[in-house]
Amino acid sequence: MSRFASIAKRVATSPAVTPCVLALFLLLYVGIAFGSNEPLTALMAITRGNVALLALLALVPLSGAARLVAETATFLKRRRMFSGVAGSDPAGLFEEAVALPEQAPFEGEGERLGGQGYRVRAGSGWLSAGRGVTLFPARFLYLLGVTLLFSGLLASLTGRATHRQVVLEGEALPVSRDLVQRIVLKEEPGLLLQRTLDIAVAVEGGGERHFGLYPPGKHRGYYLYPRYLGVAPLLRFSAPDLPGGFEQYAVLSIYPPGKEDTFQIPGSPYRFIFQMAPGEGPDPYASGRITLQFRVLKGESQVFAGSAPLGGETSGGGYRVALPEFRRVVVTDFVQDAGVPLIWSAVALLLWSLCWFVPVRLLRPRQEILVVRHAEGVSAFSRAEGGRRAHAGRFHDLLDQLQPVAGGEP
Amino acid sequence: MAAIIETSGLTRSYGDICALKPLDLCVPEGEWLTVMGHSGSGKSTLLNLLGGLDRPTGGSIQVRGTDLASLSEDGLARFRRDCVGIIFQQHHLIPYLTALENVMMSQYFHSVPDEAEARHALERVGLGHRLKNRPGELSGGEQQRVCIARAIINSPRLLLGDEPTGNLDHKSTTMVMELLRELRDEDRFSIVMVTHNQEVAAWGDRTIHMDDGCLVREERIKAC
Amino acid sequence: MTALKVIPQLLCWAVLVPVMSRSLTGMATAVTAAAGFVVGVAGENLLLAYVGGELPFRPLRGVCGVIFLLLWGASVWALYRRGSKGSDAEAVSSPGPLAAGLAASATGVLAGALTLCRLAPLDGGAVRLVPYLSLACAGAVLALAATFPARYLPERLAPRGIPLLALVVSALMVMACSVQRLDIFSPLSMEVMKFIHDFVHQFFESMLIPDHPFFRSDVWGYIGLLFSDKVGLWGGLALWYLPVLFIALALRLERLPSVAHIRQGAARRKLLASFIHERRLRLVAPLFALVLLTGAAYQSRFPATEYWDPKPVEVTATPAGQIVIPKKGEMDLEDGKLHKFSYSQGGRQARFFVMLTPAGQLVTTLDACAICQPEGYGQAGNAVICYYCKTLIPLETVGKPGGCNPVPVPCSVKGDAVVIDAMTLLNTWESTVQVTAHGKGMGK
Repeated sequence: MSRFASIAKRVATSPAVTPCVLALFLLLYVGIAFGSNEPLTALMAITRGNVALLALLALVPLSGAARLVAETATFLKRRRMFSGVAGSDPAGLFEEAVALPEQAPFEGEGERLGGQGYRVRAGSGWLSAGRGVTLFPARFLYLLGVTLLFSGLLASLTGRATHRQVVLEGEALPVSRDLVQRIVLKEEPGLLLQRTLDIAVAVEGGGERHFGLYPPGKHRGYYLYPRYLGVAPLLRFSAPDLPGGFEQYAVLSIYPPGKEDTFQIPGSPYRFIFQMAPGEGPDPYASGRITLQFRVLKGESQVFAGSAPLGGETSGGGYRVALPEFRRVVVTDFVQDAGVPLIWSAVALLLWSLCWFVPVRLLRPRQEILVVRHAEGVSAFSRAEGGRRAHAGRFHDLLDQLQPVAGGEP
Repeated sequence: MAAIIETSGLTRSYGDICALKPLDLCVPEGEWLTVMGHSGSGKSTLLNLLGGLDRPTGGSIQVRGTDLASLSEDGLARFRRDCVGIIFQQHHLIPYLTALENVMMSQYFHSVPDEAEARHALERVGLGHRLKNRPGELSGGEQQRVCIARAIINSPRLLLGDEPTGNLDHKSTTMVMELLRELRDEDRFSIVMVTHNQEVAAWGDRTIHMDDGCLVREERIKAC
Repeated sequence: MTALKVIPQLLCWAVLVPVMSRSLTGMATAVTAAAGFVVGVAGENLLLAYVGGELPFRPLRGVCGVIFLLLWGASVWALYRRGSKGSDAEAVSSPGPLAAGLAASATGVLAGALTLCRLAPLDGGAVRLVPYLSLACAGAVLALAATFPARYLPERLAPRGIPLLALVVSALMVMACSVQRLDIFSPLSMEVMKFIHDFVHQFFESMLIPDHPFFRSDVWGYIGLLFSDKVGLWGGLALWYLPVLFIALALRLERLPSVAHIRQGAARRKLLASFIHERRLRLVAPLFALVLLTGAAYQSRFPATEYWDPKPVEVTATPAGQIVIPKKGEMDLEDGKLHKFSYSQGGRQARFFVMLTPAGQLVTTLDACAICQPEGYGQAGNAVICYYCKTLIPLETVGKPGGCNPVPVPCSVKGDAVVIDAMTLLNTWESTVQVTAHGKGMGK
């Protein structure tokens, strides 16, 4: 391997890369925090528009992938050595290495190690003893998780596109002819969510698709990310100076009850401020029994106020407001983001890694002893992923057996 | 051969009573010295002084070149911990700990416990099958062997025995003595042992006889 | 009373110098530190006398922030070294005389300047001659006298390298945090709160997680803890302690030396025991630093300064919706102090204060800022302080928007009264305070 390649390999697999990159971003964050009330958002915006910073961030998944490869290679090499395959260089594979005299009689030690719970394998000129379960799968999953996480963050940071659209019953989803048939909100408490949302869509070519809250469904490459609920009542309004009246669906983002939204009557000085009455009993949006409270403003002054159930009407002072029918509305972000599945996968992998690591590390960590005879003598190697002191005691005991000392001070 | 113990005018008095009169003694490295005498002759006083359990009132005492009289209390504790192993007639084993734990207790005060090594020490004294037994479940000879394992676990250069076979029958005494000789030959430590028993004294290299705090006679049994 | 103010700083100094002189180059370190202390005291007093305003404090606070960041970097480095290399604790060599002298003098200058700031008058100007000279002498004498106790400090307890840095930085943090304008713990807590709010918001957005109307209320209650008023404090404390804990952890994680080559059990155990013992002793410095940092955080959280903080006076609006407060009524609005009022209407309530700025302008602001929980403001000398994040706002900038400044409310002076629109006041309160109380962007 050329010197350059060796240096590149060392840098790529160095565990210092990730902390250094993150430290740099931390410093940037601290700097931005002096001048912004939302430094994280600002940092994301700056990073998104800066190729150098993006390249720097990209070092994290690259380093993760390089370490994944390097550590897998090391693991396989150690396994080969452990199985008695000759020719591997043990440097860096074990924690302790001791040279013993050529005549050290290790071949007979297998039984004693077996009695101490080690699974012993022996061949001509080698003896290996191992016990416990290796943590390597947890490490593998962790590195893979980190690689995916930062790849996802990078993809999300650079490629995310969001369009906020209103999804309305009876209308087609954006950029398609897939018709929204119904929007149903149900009170169905789950582990985390209180309600379920079902957006039923008749697909253009036939069939029906359903979109819910989480995980968000994908439509033509875009995730449907429901943000707010609302209603679109058919608003019929007449006023003394608007005798001809006005009729149009008013899209109102007024859920949950109490949230206000305004609707300007086009070409007139009238403006409505709507909110959903809380009501008693079940959620009005879920039950469909919705009463809207409204104030009518002409310019800045309030000229009429009242409430009307959807399907009903109210009037007074020459003003008449009727809401004969309504459609349900979901204000939705259509998000195109290749990073999301990567981040989801990373979270799953990291959890999986943790689930492997904790019990294995606590209960049955891997401990290994390898004794090999070679031309110069005998070498004994040891490593432990946990319970180091106890394992070291047994390793030293083995060494004492192989090379007994004849008294006196060391 | 270099001396492990050198005393010069070593004296110990308790008020008006002089338990040990000025004593000049030299014990070479690796020697097995037996100290004999009647009760009150100063044997145990000498042993306590050699083990750093007591301080002389006069003279000097050097063990491996260290003047014990000049050591602080901490220094003496370190000396006992690192240089000396002691076997008592009454064993002084902790009754609610197993044989293995009793040996490990000695490791604990010396440095760090190591179960494998403690087990090995008990195997050396022939008690590999009695690791989990408490002292009450062991015979007198076995208890004394646990004591020996405890005494040698920290690789002392000097092993002191205060009538270690005083409570043992003939068979057990022989077994313990054989064991001590075997260990001494392997580990090459020195032994100073107090006894009344002429047979036990015969296992040593040299015997000194004491009476009324004075060394009255010395006989060499084997060439060192 | 003046002397009492600087006792914690001088105590820290009295502890710091013996440790430094034992760990570095002995008497020379103590002399350099003493000289540095005198220079720090003199230099800072000159700045106070001839520059005034915030300028004598800002660079010092910046330096404190930088050394705290340095400590963070060093702690991560220490932990990284342990994690990646492990084994065989490498001996930390003592720095050369030049480096030791530089470290001692820099620490002295900083300690002197920080201690003097504790005596700086709240309304500006230099420290008077007697306390100034007394402080310089006391610092120098303490440093020189430190060589005596230093002799009795066991060599094995004298920290080296990063643990020494932890001890020095922690002691300097105690000195800094006892001065309001130099305190960095409160701003740190504030930044942590902002970060957590931002992070949760971004996380929800990035992971396409639905908003709170869809969540179970008990689950949202737990998520809401991230927006509670104590999250900044606890997060700040975590960041405050973590570097020192990392250093302690790095020491604790130092791998035992390899003893496999030794063929005698007792010798192996002795070597290990000696290493473990040494390792335990090395933990003393970071643990002591932890105590110092606790003291610093306590001083920051419960500052010794007393603030002018009057009880809000209830006011009502005229039928036209105007709140009219006479300039010279029960209180004098133009006396340079803040005067608090509260206004309620139909379950809606807002708290505000009126004060005359040094520029001679009467300003009305909410008793809250746009960032923190609405814990209100108090006045100390020529600044008001946000009780939540302990940020000092110079009186010159009260009435201007931004940062942790109290949120301005439009008002007008008509004759002998200040007039505020009640609806504007309530709307301003609700639009800013409710956002800060429930989390930005999450309570929609």
